[in-house]
Amino acid sequence: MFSQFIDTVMGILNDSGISAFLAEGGWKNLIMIGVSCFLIYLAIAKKFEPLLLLPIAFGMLLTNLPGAGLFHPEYWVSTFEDGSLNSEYWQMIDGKPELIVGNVLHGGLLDILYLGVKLGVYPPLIFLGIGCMTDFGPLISNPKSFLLGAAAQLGIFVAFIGALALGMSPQEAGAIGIIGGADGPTAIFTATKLAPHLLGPIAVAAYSYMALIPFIQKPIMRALTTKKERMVRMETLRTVSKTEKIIFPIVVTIVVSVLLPDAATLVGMLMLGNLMRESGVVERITKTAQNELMNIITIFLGVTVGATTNAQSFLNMSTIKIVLMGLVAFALGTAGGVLFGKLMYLLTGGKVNPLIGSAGVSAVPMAARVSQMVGQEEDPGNFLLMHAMGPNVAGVIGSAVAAGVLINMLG
Amino acid sequence: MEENLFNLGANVTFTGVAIVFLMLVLLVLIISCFSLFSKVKKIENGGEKATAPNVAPVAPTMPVVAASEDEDEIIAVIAAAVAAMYEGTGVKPVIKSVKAARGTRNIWALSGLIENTRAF
Repeated sequence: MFSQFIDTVMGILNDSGISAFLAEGGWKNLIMIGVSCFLIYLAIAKKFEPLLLLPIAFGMLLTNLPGAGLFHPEYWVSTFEDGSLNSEYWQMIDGKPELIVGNVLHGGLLDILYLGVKLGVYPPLIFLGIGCMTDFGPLISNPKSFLLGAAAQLGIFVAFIGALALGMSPQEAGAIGIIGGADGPTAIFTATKLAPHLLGPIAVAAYSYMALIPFIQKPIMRALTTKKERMVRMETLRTVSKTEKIIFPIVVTIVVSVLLPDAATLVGMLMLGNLMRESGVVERITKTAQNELMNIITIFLGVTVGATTNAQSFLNMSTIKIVLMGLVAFALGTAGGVLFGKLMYLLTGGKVNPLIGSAGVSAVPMAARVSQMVGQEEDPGNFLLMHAMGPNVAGVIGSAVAAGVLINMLG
Repeated sequence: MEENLFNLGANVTFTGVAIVFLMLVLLVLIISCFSLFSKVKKIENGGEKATAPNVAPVAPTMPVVAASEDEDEIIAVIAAAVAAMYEGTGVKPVIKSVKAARGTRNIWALSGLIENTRAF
């Protein structure tokens, strides 16, 4: 009787996650659970990008619980280390591995939700919501802001070279470099196209750095500018008419999509959202896109991206390289924007405050708020926020264009 | 092999930076035309206004009346606030003049600006 009880208990223990933790490599899952708990703490107690960090961290927790079966990383690897095709879930079509979608539907809940990431559905839908929330007025009012948005993409390409030098493949280097764009959905979209196996660490690095924007950007902004430059008060922006705001998304979509079709998905959805907002004739769906739809996609995106960070793919040297190069990309993007801002300061005879250049990295509106904060530290009566919003939203377009370039050249 | 990688890195970097800048410069040029259109529109509207008095000579007096009403309202609000402040003290305050402070922002505009630009 007693031995039967012991056998039953032992059987349950063997089937449970406890035995998996004790098995070879099981300790890695325990570390990942610890990391996920730390990220949950940062999201709740420190409020670091909680809307995304919380679902990402919980997805990380769920995927590292042995035996839970919510997510199966083996479904999503097209080729094994020896180069052979993972033929149970992938097939070759026109020389490229394509996912057999029907076969992964037998997986866990997160496998099914992950299809939205794998098929590149979630990031453009997030862009739709962002478009509904973005006012491009400051950018239309001061179109030169576009140049600051372009200069701040410099970090992407320098980090690309850095990642190549660290031994990453060109596709992996491209996916890592895009972290410098400081745009989570763009980083995820590019990673799924170029290096899907690095999606987890790239997404975590991108969102972590976005949460740390004030700490990363402030010292760089102060180091590269003089007190006199930081105190520059900029002229009031002109009022932008409704017609201009309606024409803007249509023109940008046509120009960018015709010249760089690979950027059409992200830019097109961003501009569709913005046209819905500015036209004022589809208020109901605008509200849905920027609230309910965006919130639903944020949950799906966050939890499934977190689910890709299983111990085997996360705890390795690649992650350390990604974290390192991501920081380089971010810092250089900020520096590129500020230095171009200084150039504009010189060329305009001191009319442009170089601090708005750092907002060219696209994290909206955090980067613009940092410009405002640093400016007000020198002159409390200086209001740079609206001036910084121009480069900030230009950075969203700039990083989408940079992503299109990388996908086109390396994909 | 390393040389190929270096060439690829240099190629992607230079092409990428060039395309991003060219694309955004092109957008700068196109968007700059927007302001030209709005200037043309303003000039057209200005032209219409210049001819307006001939058609309706009463129209120019309207803004003056509106401004005066606004000022009266503001003075009434200030008087009410001052009266409320001294209520129950036995003091009867008299407002002799209300002047706009020069060289500062409108208080409501300043309040709105601070509210909307408060960092974190």
